[in-house]
Amino acid sequence: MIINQLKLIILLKLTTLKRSVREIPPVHLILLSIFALSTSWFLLKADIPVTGKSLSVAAMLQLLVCTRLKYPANKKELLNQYPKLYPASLLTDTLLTTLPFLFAHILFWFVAIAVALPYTLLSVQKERKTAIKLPALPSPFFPKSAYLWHSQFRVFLPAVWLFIAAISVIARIHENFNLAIVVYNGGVFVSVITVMLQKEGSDFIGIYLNGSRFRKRTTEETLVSATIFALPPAVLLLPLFPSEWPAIALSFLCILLISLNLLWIKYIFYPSMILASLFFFVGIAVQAALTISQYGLALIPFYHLGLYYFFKKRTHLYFTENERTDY
Amino acid sequence: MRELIIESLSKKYGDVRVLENLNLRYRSGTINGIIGKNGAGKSTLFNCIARNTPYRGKIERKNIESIGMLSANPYMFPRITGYEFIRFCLSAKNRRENRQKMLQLNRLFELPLDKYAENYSTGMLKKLHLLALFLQENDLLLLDEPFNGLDIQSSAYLSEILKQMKHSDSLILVSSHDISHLLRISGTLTTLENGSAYFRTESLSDIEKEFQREAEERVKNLFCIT
Repeated sequence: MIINQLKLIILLKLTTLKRSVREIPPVHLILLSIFALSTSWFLLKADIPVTGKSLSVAAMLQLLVCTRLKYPANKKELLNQYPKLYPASLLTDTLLTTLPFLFAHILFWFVAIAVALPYTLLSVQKERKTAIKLPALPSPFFPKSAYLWHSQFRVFLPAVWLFIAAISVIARIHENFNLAIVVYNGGVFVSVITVMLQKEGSDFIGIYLNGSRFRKRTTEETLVSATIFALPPAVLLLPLFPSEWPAIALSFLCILLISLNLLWIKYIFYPSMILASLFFFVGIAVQAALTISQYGLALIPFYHLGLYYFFKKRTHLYFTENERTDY
Repeated sequence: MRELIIESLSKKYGDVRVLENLNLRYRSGTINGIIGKNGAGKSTLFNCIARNTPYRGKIERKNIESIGMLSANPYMFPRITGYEFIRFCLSAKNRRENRQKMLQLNRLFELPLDKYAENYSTGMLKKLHLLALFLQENDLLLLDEPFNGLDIQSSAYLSEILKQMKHSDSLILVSSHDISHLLRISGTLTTLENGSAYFRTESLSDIEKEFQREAEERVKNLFCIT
């Protein structure tokens, strides 16, 4: 039975993929293909050592990806009506996410599969607890994404803070500031991306009434959010490594700038979160490459000006187009 | 004869108790209506019966092998047509496609089965799910708010289809806020209230009068106080 259901799900996914690809505008399709090819090429050529550490990282990455696979309740209800269809669908999704590991090394792929299979099995058996007993407190800091902040990330962000704090203390004991600052930047970066790269519905954006109001409010919210993410661990790092305050302050500023960068890119490519994520990471790589020479460094402000120009143009168009369709 | 026996059924979400010690018994050959206020636990009851959610108590499904459920907010896969969705559902339940029957039923619902189902309106999507469920010939049918979003003509067709289906030994449970519709087709009527359930035997006009009386009293009291 499970084989038949797997076949059905795979056929459904192939049909959906084929039709979705046909609908992507050619320019976006070219960009996506370039990115996919270059990532595959990079993974194939990169000489990643297969050690206990790297295999553990692969396992953790796969687990992280698996936990991000969430089905809406009505999809689960539909799939559960048919024998073994929900496990078949979840298994297909988790196995699909293991494929990138195959490009790096077959052992990484095996590890990813070894994580994906028990994860699927446990997820099918275990019913997620509905946490409606936890009150969703109104937040002055997250007016736009108050729901997301309180219901989805109320555990995630404190967990990241605790993780940064624990590693920072260990780094202090070993007098290794590099470890502390890498964990600080990495942890806050992941938090910012996870919370900010959530897609809002177009009707939600429409409540801002016009482009300039939208840009002002989202900029304020982004800066406040990023400060909340980055400030507590930075305050913790300062007494642990007082002599390194310039590096900590610089990292904090970088987080704020990266958040703004992400905000602009998110709405340049809205509603496609995939394209926005791809461009965001490619953009960071490009900026890193530019910092190699002083001439490149001088180009970075122009890159940001360009981004802001497109952000302004796109958000303005978004509101004016919506106005027209109202008639 | 198919039978659904619910004994001491309880269900809670966190600290919120939705169903408390429910004892109900339904037999095939009748349409069983379920009413209750918003949040009374109608959908939760259906999800317990369909094994979609864990619960405390016992639900015995005598001679019931296949269950079909229409949720209040049905899901649709992206980029597939209505016809492909029906075929997918039939294959997933290992049922043969009866194209003639499908076309006959669709003559009533008038769905554009060659168009992407994700672009259907709420009512059309509901009709598509109903069509898929009717073609599967399930032993137990759980319909959560099937009349919501349906136009008058389609609601009438649905009522008549359900009346026909009860003769085929199917056990049918229908929840709805449309009491007049429900009473017209139901053999039994269950009310869910404050976590418990009881069968109602009054006539439609008596039930409607009771609701009207309660509403009038409450609204009057509210305006007198303020």
